[in-house]
Amino acid sequence: MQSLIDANGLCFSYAKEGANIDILHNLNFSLNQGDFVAIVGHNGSGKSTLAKLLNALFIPTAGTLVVDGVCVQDGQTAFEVRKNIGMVFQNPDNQIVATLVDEDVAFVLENLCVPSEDIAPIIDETLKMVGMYELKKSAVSKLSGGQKQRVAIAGILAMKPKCIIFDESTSMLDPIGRKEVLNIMKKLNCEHKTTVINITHYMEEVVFADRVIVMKDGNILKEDMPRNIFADRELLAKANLSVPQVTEFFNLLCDRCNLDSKTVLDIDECVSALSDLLGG
Amino acid sequence: MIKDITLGQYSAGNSILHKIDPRTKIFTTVVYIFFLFFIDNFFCYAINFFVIFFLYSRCKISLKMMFNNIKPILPILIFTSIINLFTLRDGKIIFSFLFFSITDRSLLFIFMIFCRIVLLIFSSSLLTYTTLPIDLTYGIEKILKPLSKIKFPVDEISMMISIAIRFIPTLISETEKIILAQKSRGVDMESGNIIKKVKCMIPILIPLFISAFRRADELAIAMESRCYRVGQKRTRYKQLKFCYLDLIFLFGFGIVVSVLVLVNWFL
Repeated sequence: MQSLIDANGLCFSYAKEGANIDILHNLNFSLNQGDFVAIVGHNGSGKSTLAKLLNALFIPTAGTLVVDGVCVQDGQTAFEVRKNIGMVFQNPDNQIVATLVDEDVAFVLENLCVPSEDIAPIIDETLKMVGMYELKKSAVSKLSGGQKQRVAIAGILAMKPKCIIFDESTSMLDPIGRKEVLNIMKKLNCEHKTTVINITHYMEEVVFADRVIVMKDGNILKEDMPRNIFADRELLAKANLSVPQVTEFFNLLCDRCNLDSKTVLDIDECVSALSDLLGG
Repeated sequence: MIKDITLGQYSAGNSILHKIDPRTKIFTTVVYIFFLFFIDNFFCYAINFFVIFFLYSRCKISLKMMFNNIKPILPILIFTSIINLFTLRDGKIIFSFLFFSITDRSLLFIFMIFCRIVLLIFSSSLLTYTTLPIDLTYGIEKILKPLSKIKFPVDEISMMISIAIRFIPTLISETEKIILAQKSRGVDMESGNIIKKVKCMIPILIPLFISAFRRADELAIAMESRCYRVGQKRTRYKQLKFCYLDLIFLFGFGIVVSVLVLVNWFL
C-alpha cells in the first residue's frame, strides 16, 4: 500500500539577515491512511514548521515530501496538497473567516468551486459531525473557545480531507473544550479513517495516539508507540518532555517502594496495576 | 460603542423591506438620495417624510431609534444652518442687526437643506436597519461584479469587507483587555486635559496594532491552508434571488419617484 505522507531527507531552512537558519534536518518518516500520530517536542523543536510543510504552506528546501502522490515543490502542487490535508491552528479566533458559523464552513467549499446548490447539505452534515448544527446561524464572536475550534474543524472537514493536522489546537482551550476537540479527533480517526496528526504539549493527549514522533532541534529523536515512549525516561529527559500525571504518579510510587517499574498510561491501567500490587 | 457589529444596526423584522433583495434596497436608496438633491418643493418634502415614516412604521422601528442617527450630526447641521442663515444675501431682508441680516430666501434655503439631510439619513439608515451587514456586503459585491471585467478586484474587496466585519468584535474585546492591562500597570487614563488623554491612547493603540498584524498574519496562513488563493474563481454559498416582493417594492418606489418628479417640476 502506498503511504499517505512520505518524507525523505526532508530539510527546511530560511535566510535571516544573510545567515541560513536550519529548522529541520534530514527527516525521514512515512504515515499511512488512518494513522493517529502525535508529534511532541519542546518549543522550537520544529513541530509547527513540519506541520506547515505537510500542508505545503512552506516548501521544502531539500529532500522530498510526497503527500498523497503529489510531490510538494511549488505553488501549483501546494494547492493540490491542501485539498487533501487540512490544518487546525492554535488560536480559534485567527482562523475563522466569516461572521456566521455556516458561512465559515462554506469558505473552503467556495474556494474549491463546489456548486452553490451542493454546499448547504455538506455544511449541515459537517456541522452535525462536530455537534455544532444547532448553532448553524449564530455569530462566531458569540461562541466559546471550544465551540470556535469545532467550527474551525468543521471548516476543514467540509472538504473531506484525508488527513487533518491539529497544530496545538487544544492549547488555548479550557479542559471542556480540549476534551470536545480530542473526542472529535478520535471519532474522525475511528469512523472516517481520517489520518490525524496531533501536535501537542499535553501528554494526556499523546496517550490516544497510535504512534508518537518525538522531535528535538529539528531532528526526529524517536518514533514509537506512546507506551514505549513514556517508558524511555532517558529519551524524555533528553527531549525535555514530561509524562502524563498518572504515569508520573505510578513511576514515583514504584521508585519509592522499589517495585518493578511499569508504564501506565491512564487511570484505569493505574488502578488495575495498583490492585495487582495490593492483591499480590 | 458598537456592541454587536454582526448585527450592526439590524433590527430583526418581517416587513417587505426585510425580505427583499439587498441589491434592490441599495439601488433604490442610491436613486432616492440622488433625487433628494434635486427637490426644492415643500409638498415634495411633505410627501417624502410621509413615505419615510410609513416605511419606518411598517418595519416596526421606533421613533427613538429613528432619531438616534440624527443626534451625532445635529451640531454640524445647526452650525451650517446658522452660517447659511447669516451669509445668504438674496431675497427680502426681514431682520438685521449690525452687519448681520436674515432674508426670507435664506430661511427657506436652510429649512430645505435641513430637511434634505434629515431625509438622507433616515433613508440610508432604513437600509442598515433592515439589512445585515454581511448581506449588504454581498449585495455590493453583486452590484460591482461587472467591474471585475475590467480587472477591478471585486471579490477581494468584498472578502476584505467581510473579514473586517468579522474582526471588529474580536478587536473590540482585545482593546478592552489592553486597556485593563495598561491600567493595571498604572497608566492613568481618566485624569488630565485632552492632550494628556490623547497621549494615553498610545499605549493602547500600539499593542492593538501589533496584535492586529499578528492576527492578520495567522489568518492569511489559515486561509491559504483552506485553499484560498487571491484571484481564483470561487463559487458562493449564499445566493441572492429576486422575488415578486422586489417587483412590488420597485413598483411602489417608481410611483413615489414619479409623484415627486411631477410635483416638483410640473406643479
